[in-house]
Amino acid sequence: MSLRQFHLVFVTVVTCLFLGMGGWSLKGYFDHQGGLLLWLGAGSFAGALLVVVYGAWFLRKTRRMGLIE
Amino acid sequence: MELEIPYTVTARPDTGSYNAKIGIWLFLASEVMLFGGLFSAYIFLRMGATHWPHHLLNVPIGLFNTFVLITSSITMVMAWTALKMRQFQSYRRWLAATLVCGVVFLGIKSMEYKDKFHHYGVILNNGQEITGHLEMTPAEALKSPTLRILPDAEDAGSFGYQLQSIFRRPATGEEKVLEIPKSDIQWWSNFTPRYSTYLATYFTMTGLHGLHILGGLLVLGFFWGPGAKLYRTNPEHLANRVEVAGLFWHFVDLVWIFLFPTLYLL
Repeated sequence: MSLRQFHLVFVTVVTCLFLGMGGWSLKGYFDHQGGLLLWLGAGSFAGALLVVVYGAWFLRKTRRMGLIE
Repeated sequence: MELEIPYTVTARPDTGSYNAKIGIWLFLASEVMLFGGLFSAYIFLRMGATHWPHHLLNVPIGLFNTFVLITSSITMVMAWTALKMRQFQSYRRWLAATLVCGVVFLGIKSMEYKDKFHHYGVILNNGQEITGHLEMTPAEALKSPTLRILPDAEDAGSFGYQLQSIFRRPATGEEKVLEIPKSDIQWWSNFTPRYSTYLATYFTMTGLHGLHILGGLLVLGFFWGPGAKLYRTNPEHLANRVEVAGLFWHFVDLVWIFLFPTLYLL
């Protein structure tokens, strides 16, 4: 597995982390642990989306460069 | 007669990879077993524990450190792609950014450790646990017949409180300080591995991970500095070496992605 492929695995895991973080934050918010958690949850879901967009950009960039193994 | 080591640049036909890549994946396989063993130990210790502390670690700090490591993986892969495109200056800039991220991560981690070493827990004779900060030096605490401790606030585990505590220490009102006679204390200690199974697990796993970060920084520092000379004679060989270092760096970052929710959130 090349660094390019491993980086894509990494991006996938980071996306899952952000989704999990979003879920954890919203659970905390609904358990009345503070309003900040709602913002953290929203930020986490936005972060997950951002990472997916980055992953797609990285995939296109490395394809253009011919780094596919 | 000079012997040249084959397959340092081109892939070996039967494996489809150059030597170093095979080597790093074998090494990473052993690393998976090492960290896998520790994660298994964590699961069994937690399953067997009658009490497992929550919200002991500062989530905002851990989250920030997670962002730092994620960023470092992106800069790492950018350094490698720059090298593949033969953009040497760009490669060095991205690698320098990776190094900075690694140093920042370790700096923050050491601050977290320091904070834990200054945090104390007291178990009273009736089994009650009081945690907080000593309002006396550790040397005074050892000699004194009483312990002066500023207990943690009730909402100390909340995200908002933890975020605030990064920028300012909670108010140390004299009226809040508890004076506990040592005759009422069963056991007391600062938050070191001996304090609890949870902290022993925390320090073992994050300490080993920190050592991996340090090792990675040494390797990346070499490829930023003296090791970069290889670019003049064989840039593809350097690109392969950087790719291998990048695989290690990604693995170490991946371990943190699992460590963070395990130790900080769950």
